Amino acid sequence: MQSNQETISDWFYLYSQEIYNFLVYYTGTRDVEDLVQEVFIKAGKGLGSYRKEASPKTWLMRIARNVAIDKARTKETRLSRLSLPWQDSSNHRQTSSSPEQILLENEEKSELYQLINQQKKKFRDVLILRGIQGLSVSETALILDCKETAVRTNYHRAIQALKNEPNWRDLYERSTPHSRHQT
Amino acid sequence: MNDQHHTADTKLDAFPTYRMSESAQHRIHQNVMKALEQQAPKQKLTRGISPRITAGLIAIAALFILTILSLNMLQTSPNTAIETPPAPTEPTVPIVSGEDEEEPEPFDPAALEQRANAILQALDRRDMATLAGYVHEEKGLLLSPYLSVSDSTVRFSQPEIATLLDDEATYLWGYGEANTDIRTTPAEYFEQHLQVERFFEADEVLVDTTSPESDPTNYLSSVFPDAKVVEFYTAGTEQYSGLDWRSLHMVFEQEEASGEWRLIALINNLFTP
Repeated sequence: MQSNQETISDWFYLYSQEIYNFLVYYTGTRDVEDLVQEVFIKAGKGLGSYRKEASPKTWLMRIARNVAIDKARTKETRLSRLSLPWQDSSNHRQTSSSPEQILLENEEKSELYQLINQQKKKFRDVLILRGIQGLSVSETALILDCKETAVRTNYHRAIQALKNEPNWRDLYERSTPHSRHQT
Repeated sequence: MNDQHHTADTKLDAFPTYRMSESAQHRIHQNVMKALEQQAPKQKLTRGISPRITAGLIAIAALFILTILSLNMLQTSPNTAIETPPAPTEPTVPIVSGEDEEEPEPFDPAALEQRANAILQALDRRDMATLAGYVHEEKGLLLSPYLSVSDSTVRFSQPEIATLLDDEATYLWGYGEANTDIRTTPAEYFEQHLQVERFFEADEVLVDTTSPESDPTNYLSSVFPDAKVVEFYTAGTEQYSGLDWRSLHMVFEQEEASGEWRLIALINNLFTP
């Protein structure tokens, strides 16, 4: 039988990059390595409470989301209204890799990401999980601990909300000049 | 509209994927393994097996050995052998079966809730003598700032409780954000982590059931299989989209001699896995 550490070690190599990518988008900063570490330590300590019906990946994503929310709360920042990434003064990583700049490399993406961040929390959750991370409805439901119908509804509404943003129209029209959509 | 949905989907899909460098990945992996290694030997111990179970196991082992012995002695007449084993083990048998079958008095949720409320008030008044009166004599009191209990969770014996707030020593209660130590004196812990006053206006008081939000995996019942838990739950506020909910779990176990439900743990819980 595998020990907890072996299990976590396996899972780490299988899923840590996905967790990292998720945390980058969820927190809005690339400086999430500490969070990745925390996720796997928490997972190792809490392996006893891992429900077998959830896949390791969704379980880890769920922990990751909680860790990110916790982190945001201690910073007294509200994730859902974040327009700028966290500035951690104690952190001396090169600023050139700050998330904003990376996302700004592609202006359209950056604007879209800003729009997503401005959405309500429940919309933002599904937009990042379903949309950006490309997870299935059932995976998203497991991570958010809600029903699949809620994921579907919220995703649908979130997309609607995005499209109702004035910026969305600019984006949409700019990127698809021969737009089929009526203004 | 579907077209638009599609466009939105495609746009969301097309976000770049970020990856850690391999060296970062290895470094984090090492840190994780190191952290879990320190934890590992402790975790295996799972807070001491209850004396009752130990007694039961010893009795069963004794019964087993005696059975084999008597079978050997009476090998010549197997028919009687099967009937005789109970005789030498008579004293142990009633202990095992009696313990398992005899359901003490029926559990009264209302009484336990009342008890929990009295404890909440004692905690709020910092009336440690009264609190000590509720604590399990053998097991003492565990205090954990998060929904996590291990062998390293801080535990005080019942006699220690009465003077706990005068204790100037700092204890490692657990780990907070980014694995930072929660290291304070008991008085500070009461102030910063127990936060009793928040639970007077609890949105829900759950007796012997778990709220899906605070303990979705039934963690507490796996750690304390014989316990009854009273949970004070305060829902989160809109400001934080409800994520600032908090719970205080009071864990009770029945004291064998008196049949009384005694406090064995005060476990706080907030938004962490």
